[in-house]
Amino acid sequence: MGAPTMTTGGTGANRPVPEGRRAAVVDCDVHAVLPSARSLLPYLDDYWADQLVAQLAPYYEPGYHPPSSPIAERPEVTPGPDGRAGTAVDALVADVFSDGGPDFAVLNCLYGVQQIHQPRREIAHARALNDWIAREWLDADDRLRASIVVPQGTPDAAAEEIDRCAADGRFAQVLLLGQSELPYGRQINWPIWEAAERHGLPVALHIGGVFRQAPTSVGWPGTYLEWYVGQQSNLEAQLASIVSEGVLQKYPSTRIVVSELGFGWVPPFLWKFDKLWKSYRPDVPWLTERPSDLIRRHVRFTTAPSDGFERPGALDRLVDRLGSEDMLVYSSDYPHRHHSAPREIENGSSDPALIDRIRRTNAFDIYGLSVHSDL
Amino acid sequence: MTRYIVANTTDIPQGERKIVELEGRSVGIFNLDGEYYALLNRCPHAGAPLCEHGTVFGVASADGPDAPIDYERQRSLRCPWHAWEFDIRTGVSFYDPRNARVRKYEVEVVPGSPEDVVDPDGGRQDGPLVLEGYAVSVEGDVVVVDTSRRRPGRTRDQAERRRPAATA
Ligand code: FES
Repeated sequence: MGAPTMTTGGTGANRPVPEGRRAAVVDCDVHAVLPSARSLLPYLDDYWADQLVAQLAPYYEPGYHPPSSPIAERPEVTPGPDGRAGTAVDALVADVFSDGGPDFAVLNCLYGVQQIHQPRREIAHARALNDWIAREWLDADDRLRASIVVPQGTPDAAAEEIDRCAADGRFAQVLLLGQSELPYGRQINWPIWEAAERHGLPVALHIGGVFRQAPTSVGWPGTYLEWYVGQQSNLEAQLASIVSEGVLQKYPSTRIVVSELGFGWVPPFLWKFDKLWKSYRPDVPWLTERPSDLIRRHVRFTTAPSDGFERPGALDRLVDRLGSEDMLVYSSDYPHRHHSAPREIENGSSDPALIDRIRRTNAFDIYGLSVHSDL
Repeated sequence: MTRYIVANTTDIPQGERKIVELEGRSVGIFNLDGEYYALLNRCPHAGAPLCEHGTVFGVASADGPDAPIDYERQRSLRCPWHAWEFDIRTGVSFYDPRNARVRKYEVEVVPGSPEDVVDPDGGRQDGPLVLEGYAVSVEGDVVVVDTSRRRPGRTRDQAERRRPAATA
């Protein structure tokens, strides 16, 4: 295994790969699971550690993939010592990097510090979680990268956490959840975009939420089914906000990776956004180009779940309707189970060059991850 | 190919418009603070009577989402159907200048009464006034619309030279 390198600060868009190296195959969405709230004790300061113990260690593992439900784990994954997938680094590494696996995997730890509504507690726990990821995961295997978990309730503190973790060099992006307290385009959230751009880090918008209000656009869903399906429309609202509020003009190097939220809904969304922009352009006079052009340039979507686009020809048709071959990046969403296996997405296209883009070069454009050419 | 007298200046008060028919096409002429603009009365999107029912607004621009919004009044014509906006001076859309545009006509104000300015040798015609049964008995300045197409890259001289051949 050659020493992995990471080029930061670039704006993507088919950046050149360094001499003697090739763009790495990247699995852009892999889940490390915090085994218990107590796992954070070594990483919290005395005050917050004792607070956690005093509160009987409430565990904020979110119900995005309820344990024992079909979506939680694929049957073939290797469980950690507690019987759950994703809780032990050696088991995850063995599964994710098995034969034909990626060169790198980006860990999105979804432990729900964002659901801690006390700002200073959220800040302390986000910090502890990132340190736990760095020590117990990134130190264990140099093919692992991770997303920076940020205290979303306090955007200035989120920016500070981005500054702190970016110095490590192994955090490949910032993690935001699909459902937020205020849409991500709103100016109160700009410190997060500013910090991400400052460090050349993409921002992942991953399925999930802060649960400070109802988690779908219309209210409280009655079932998990409604929650999961409903997150897609939250992402439409987030992208509409980010584009309309001018984040992509203000921070033009911004890259967004929409993760585990599908991509089949994107073409009709872009069409509608463009269409209505023509009628309401005076509301957003700084928006001088079509929303779809901005989204094509700045936003990427992970391939799992592939939602039927793994059927022969379906991916080709979808990419045609997206109007860009640059917008999809490969993910396994390990250990989550969807209706098709992660690499089945490759069946959706008859074009090996497109698959290669999805697995390597599109990811290189946003992360700059490469390996020696002979690997 | 022709310049038509479409109105007496007093027929189109400030901020108002007049719809005329020129060579079988409906055309709207606007008076904005004494500047006259003429556009085809048909939206390139889905054919709405743009000049007849469109609203004159300004144009807004901003260098960034936190920059001041500059606003210039009386610069845009907004379609009554789906609110697309066009530069009232050029017919060009503000969001897609290359592809969406309304045909624009040159307008000038010519001193004198219509009888005085009608040129029997093919220059200015009083066609629309006649077409609309308009009494050509007004006094004062008249508004003249030129229906010839202005193509980029062709000088006025070249256009003049081509004209006899085209009409022959
Ligand atoms: S017809 Fe004019 S905007 Fe649709």
